[in-house]
Amino acid sequence: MQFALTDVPRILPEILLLVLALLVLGSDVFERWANTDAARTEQHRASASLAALGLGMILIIALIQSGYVYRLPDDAPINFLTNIVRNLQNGGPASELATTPILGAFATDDLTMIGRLVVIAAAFLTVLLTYDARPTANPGEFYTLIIGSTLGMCLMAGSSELIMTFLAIELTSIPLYVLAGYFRNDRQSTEAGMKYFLFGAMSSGILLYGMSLTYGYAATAAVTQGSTGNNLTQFERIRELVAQAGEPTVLLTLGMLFLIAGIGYKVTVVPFHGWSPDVYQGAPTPITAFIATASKVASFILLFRLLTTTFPVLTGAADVIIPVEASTFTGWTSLLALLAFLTLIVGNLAALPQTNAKRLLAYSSIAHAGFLLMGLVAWSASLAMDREAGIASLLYYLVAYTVMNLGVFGVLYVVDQHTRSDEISVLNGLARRNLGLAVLFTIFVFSLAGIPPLSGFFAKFYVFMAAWQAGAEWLVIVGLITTIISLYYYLRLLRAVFIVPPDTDAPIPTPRWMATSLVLSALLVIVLGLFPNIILTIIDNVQAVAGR
Amino acid sequence: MVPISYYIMLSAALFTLGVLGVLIRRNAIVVFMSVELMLNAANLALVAFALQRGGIDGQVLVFFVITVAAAEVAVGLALLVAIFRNKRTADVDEVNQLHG
Amino acid sequence: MLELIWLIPLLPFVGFLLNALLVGRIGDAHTQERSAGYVAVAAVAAAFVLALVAFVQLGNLPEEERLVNVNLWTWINAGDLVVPFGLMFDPLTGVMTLLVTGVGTLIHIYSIGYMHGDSRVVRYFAYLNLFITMMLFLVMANNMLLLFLGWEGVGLCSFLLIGYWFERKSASSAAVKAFVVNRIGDAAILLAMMTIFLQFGTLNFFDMILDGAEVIGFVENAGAVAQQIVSVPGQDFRIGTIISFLLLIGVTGKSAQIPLFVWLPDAMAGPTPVSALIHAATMVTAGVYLIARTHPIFTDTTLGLVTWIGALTALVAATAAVAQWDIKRVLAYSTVSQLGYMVAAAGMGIYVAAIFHLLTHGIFKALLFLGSGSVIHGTHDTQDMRKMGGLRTAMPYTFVTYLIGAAALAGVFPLAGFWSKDEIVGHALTHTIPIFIILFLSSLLTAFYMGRQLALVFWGEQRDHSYHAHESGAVMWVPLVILAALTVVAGGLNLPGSHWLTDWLFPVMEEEAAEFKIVLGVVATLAAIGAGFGGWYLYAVRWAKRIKVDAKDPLYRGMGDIWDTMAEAWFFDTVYNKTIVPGYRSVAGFFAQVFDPEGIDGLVNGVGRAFGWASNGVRFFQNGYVRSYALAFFLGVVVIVGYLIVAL
Repeated sequence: MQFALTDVPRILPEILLLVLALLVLGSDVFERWANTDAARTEQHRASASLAALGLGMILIIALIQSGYVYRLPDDAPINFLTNIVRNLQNGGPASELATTPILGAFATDDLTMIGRLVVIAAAFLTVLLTYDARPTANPGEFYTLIIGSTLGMCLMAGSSELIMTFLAIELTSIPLYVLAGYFRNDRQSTEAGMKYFLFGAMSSGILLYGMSLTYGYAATAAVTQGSTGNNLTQFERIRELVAQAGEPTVLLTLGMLFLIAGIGYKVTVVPFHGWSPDVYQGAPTPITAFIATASKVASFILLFRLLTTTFPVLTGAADVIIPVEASTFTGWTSLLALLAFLTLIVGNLAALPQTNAKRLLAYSSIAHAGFLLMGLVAWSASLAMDREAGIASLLYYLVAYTVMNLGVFGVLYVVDQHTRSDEISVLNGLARRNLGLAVLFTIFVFSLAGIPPLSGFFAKFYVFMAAWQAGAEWLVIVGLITTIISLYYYLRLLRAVFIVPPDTDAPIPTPRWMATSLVLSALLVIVLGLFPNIILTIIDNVQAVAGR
Repeated sequence: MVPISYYIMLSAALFTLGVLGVLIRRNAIVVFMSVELMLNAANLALVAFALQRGGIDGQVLVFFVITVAAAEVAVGLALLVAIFRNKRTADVDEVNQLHG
Repeated sequence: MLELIWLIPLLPFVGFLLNALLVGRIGDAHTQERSAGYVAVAAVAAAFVLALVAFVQLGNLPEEERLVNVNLWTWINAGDLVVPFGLMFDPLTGVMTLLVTGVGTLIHIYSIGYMHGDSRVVRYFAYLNLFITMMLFLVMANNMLLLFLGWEGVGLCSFLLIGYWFERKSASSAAVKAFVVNRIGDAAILLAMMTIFLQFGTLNFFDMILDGAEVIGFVENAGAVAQQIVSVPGQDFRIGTIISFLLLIGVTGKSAQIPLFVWLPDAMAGPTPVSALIHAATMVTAGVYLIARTHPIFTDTTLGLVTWIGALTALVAATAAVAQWDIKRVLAYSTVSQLGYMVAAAGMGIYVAAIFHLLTHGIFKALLFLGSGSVIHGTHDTQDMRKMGGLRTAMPYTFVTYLIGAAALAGVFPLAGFWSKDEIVGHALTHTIPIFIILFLSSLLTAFYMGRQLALVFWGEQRDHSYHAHESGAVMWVPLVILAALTVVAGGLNLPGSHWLTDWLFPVMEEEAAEFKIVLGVVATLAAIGAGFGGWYLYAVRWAKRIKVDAKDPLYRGMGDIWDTMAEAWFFDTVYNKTIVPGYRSVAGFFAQVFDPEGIDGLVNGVGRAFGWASNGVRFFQNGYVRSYALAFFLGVVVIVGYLIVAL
């Protein structure tokens, strides 16, 4: 397998992200000496607008390439424009090429494409949020790190090989450590960076150990089967070896477990979640939004691809947590069902007594990881159709989750810019201080709480449905109960906004680009709730990929 | 040739030591070193399996890991410096403003 | 024209948008208040006219064609799950739509007077219009999912409107309570939907054409599937029983039945027109509508349960209403009690009677609430009946209309309440004797507490002179008069002999008209008048001197603890507060502490000692948080690995 020239358009979004990262970094060189406030603001906005424009363009290019919005017909007239589109779409998920991963390491199928689109869109909205913010130190570096991390997430979404997986995760994480601790003089921010780093480094140790065990299993199996070739780190290849070897061994199961733990920390699954409330609270708010959304989306897609392509033998059943006979371990779906259960309980209950809005939302985001896991758990269904419903619900949930969380953290950021605090009490009387912002906030919070017709409702409904069909009824009931509990803390936020009188009636301004970002998110929350078909038809494509 | 299981046992022991170090030590630098120990334990296992198989994919992964680990430590140390300037300590237990 | 029924919910929605986005930005406060009121009234009135036109057109169709589905777009199309964003119009939906928009219009008009001078009146009208929209979605939806949208939507508006006067602490906690209690029911509805989808493969009510393809509806095909048996370990259930039981839980939440009725009396913290519209005439009847809509899926097992829940709720709430001092709380418990009648009727399988009572109750309870609003308005926000008295001279219109409403509620011939309640009680006699006794007893209590209330409010002397009582303006009493007139004639909907409603609903319910029992009618009226007169006599004549501000009720002397039990609605709230709420709080606190640093610290402190001695570096009690997280992480891994080792 060689890298061919035709593979270049397949990784065009990644290449462009790399170029953009370098451009943004370079742009900073010419504006180093900003000593006055005005100059600092100008410098900040220059970098921000470059990053936003670039990310916007890459998003559009990726959209064209995906063919989801417009697919060039085969008999289209040949001219300059159609040539560009055709070449782009030839590298897209619908082309012949997309059926095999590049060098066995990077798949460019629909799953990757959806991951890319969500991640790049999240990065775009995040950058838009920061445009009007108080200037950061060295803005060029700030945005370079965001873009670099986005690149890592795109790679995560498409990774189909262990080395690539490790590199992609590290490329995502290392910039995020720096970003979380970006305000060097702010104690909370540095603390968040430090905690994130320590926890992340440790988790990558676990992840790598899991890889070594999995690789070890594959290597041993390859020796006994006498196969050759340096491709034992590819997901597909490991699966074949496992299938040929017949019985999976303890070594493989342990490897899988460590891999789940290593990625589980990124998706904030209990008990691997310890870092997240602290980091979410301490990190700069737009970075919190970015970590909470994009990083989780990429990790979930990676987790899904890894588990379904590498370990189909160990799928198991979700309706049994305690095996009937002591000698049956029922596989990763039952493990994930158990983790989902813990995550739902801990996330929702721990959110109840919080007084810091960001921290409360951090726990809410942990709880959402539990709902998301239910989509993966649905993979235990015996019918292919039900499994497909699982992945479709997972992807829909990821999209909905991303927009509503970006929005809700965005509102907190706007308030934080004005009041320099993110306690729940600063939201008091927001409805009087800025009604528009309060309405946006309400939309996001209701969507998080799962109230129709917002997208958060349909996401939950679909995930519950998928898990129910897969036989995890007990988990659905736990999910419903925790949904009721969650309402309590979401209403606490709204109570502050609408009911508690504020200390001051001074209006809170919403700068233009922040408002744009929030309104875009809110529109998506509503539109995707009223017309979920828009993405469901796209997600249908994935099912062909996932059904392999 | 040394049997493969010896390598694996050594690797497991090193990994456990690394984990214990992370859990027990309070000095951030020592914690970093313990994390390195974990990574290298995994590296050892990878190299050993690759040797057994006669392939190179495991070894390639090890090279990447070494490189990435260096980058990671650089970031970690930078964060540590930032913390140190604020708090005058490298004790991870002192970093506990965020909780609840 | 019938394909344009989507305009009916759209119009109030446009009103909502106008009020939410535009009206707040024009002119001074006065202009804003006026235009908000006009916009809101115009939107709902237009929807009423449209609904009327649609209703007449539906009547012109042959009987078997009286079911119109209008699918606006395919809402969800995910594998098997195909749900249209679709509305329907059939005889049942038609009467519900008329009730919602008709009573809604009157209450909107009334609100202009009642809310005059309120500082956030634009928002009030916006919420009210949004409520009408959502309620229309609820009754017009042609599938469960859209119904659920309306179901949640009305809950949301109810939340916003109960907490409307958020300066009052009771209002904001009542709002949260209402929402959370309702959410318990909603979770059951969600489960019911999943079960329905799994069993029938559809969420639509009736067969229809969608995107050129035939799709089936579960109500239409309920018969055979509902009777199938599934085995849950240890017990066999019919599918219909499971689904209908889940639906019933949802109904007890929204329609305020035992055990989830506790939110409704507290919901009276909202403005009175809201209580009239949402918590008496429309939203709380959604549960009854849901049972009527999906009735083929209910099996005998559940129906028995439905009957008992309804009857017991009727009794419990009626006794509670006897022992209240707050003019609105009397009506609130009375609403719970009347909803109990409707639910019991549905449980006994006389759905037409349930809907009939729903309609008449919607009218006369709206009248009573608006009347009480007029009293509250005229006495400058007094709600304690002990501070009132003798208002019949000061507020003549209110008095007369209130009297009519009260008589209707008590079931006096020939007012609306007589006909509808008599149908239910009469059927109970042939159904189950204990149910009949409970319902009859409740109707005596109903008459009694209404007599008591009339006596306390309108008779005797004014007991508190801190205000000057006056009649409300025309914008408020005109709706009262209209509603009073409707109360007099609404019985005509389903008079014995003509039974128009039974015939009209026949395509939906397929039910024969009930036989009218003249003896029972006479006895019931006499009993109602007797009990009402008794209540009036005791409080207006016999004990008139004993009623003082902050005094105990004269009946308290004889009854003591029983009276307290009644006043507290048999202590449902207290039990919940003593059992569920603290448990919930302590569990939450436990998790917040155990899974969060301080709690993990406690854990680590123990383990840390062992590690501390071994490492010689860690001091006791000084454990870092990051390491605690790491410990949790590794403990998690170790536990799972340990489990694996045991399992393999």
